[in-house]
Amino acid sequence: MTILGLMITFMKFGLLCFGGGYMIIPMLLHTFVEEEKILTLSSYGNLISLAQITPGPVSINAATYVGFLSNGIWGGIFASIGLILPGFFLAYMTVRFLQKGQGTFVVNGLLTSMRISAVAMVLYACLIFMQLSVFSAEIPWKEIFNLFVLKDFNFKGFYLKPFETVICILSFLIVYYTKFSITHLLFVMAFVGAIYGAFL
Amino acid sequence: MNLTYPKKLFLLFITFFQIALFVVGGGLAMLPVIEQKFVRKYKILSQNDLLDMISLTQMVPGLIAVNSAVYVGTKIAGVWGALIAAVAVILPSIVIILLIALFFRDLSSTNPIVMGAFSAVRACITGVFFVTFMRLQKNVLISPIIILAVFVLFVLLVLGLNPVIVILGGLPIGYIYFYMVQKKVFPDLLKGKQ
Repeated sequence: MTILGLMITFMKFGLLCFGGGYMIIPMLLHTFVEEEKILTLSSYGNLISLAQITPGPVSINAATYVGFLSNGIWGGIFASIGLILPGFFLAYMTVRFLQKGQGTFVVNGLLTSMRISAVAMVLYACLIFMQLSVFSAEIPWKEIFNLFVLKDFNFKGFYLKPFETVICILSFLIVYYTKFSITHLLFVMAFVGAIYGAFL
Repeated sequence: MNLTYPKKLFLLFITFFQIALFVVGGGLAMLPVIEQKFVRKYKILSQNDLLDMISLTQMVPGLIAVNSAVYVGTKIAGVWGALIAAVAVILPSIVIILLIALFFRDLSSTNPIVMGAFSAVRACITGVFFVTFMRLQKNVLISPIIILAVFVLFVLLVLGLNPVIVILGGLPIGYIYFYMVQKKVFPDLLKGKQ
């Protein structure tokens, strides 16, 4: 694949990512593991877990790595640029549209509904982040249902991780009650976590 | 707060660069930092702007992180702001991944120190995200109808529906509510409680 072809492929991915970058994971698998064969399935799995633990947007990380494997350094850079281009133009035009139409019935109704769903989405994101860090496994909805209906339950393997829970509550209190900068807090907590990891 | 145009661009670049460098998990995880910097510290965005950003970035195709950067950039400093914020948010990722790809060919290494640091960062983001929720809901959950609507949409998300469909499904609620606002039945969500 040429660099231009690579960039166009990633622009297509960017256009198809509805609801966030995670959508790119199956698309990359199809194109680069099954069609282009520049990666094996197991190294693709490692690549995705690496993209999730390195800082920054997961899909940019994955795109850069795949682009690098395909066409070297410039491949990595142009794959990422291609990925963000469609979203960039569409988001810019939407913001401009909302700014121009302020006060009209169409835009105000849209904004009202967007704020309602935004709060639901933030609450949902809280839940997702708790599953990723504080809880040891996904929340067992079926078991919770059983608890109320059948009075018979089994929460095997589902518990609060003590270290993560303490960090989570501490961060909440610090940010809620003081003006401590979040980026500095993340840095401090990373340091605490590294010490904890070293002694474990 | 009144800032000059170059200073706004610099602020956008440095903030989104920091966000991309420190925030693991991408997308919505950067929301608390945006809230603290642009709403609380510099007061150049309102909390309602942030709520619009959350839905808008998921409705438009593309990455949530980049779309958020474009939203904030355009609101604060027009097209150049959007461009600078978008570049700042992808720059650290590209550099870090290229360095890893060049020097560490083995992807399966699990260093306990690195793993400990990342799990602490994720836990910290979880706690901080609850603060953001507490602050954002104050302006929106102002009538029983809205609380019910939010709860229904939340349950739909938990059931595994795509966020895009949930937002589109919320559209009729928004238009009916806004119609009632014009008839002075409900308080106006667009103004919110300050």
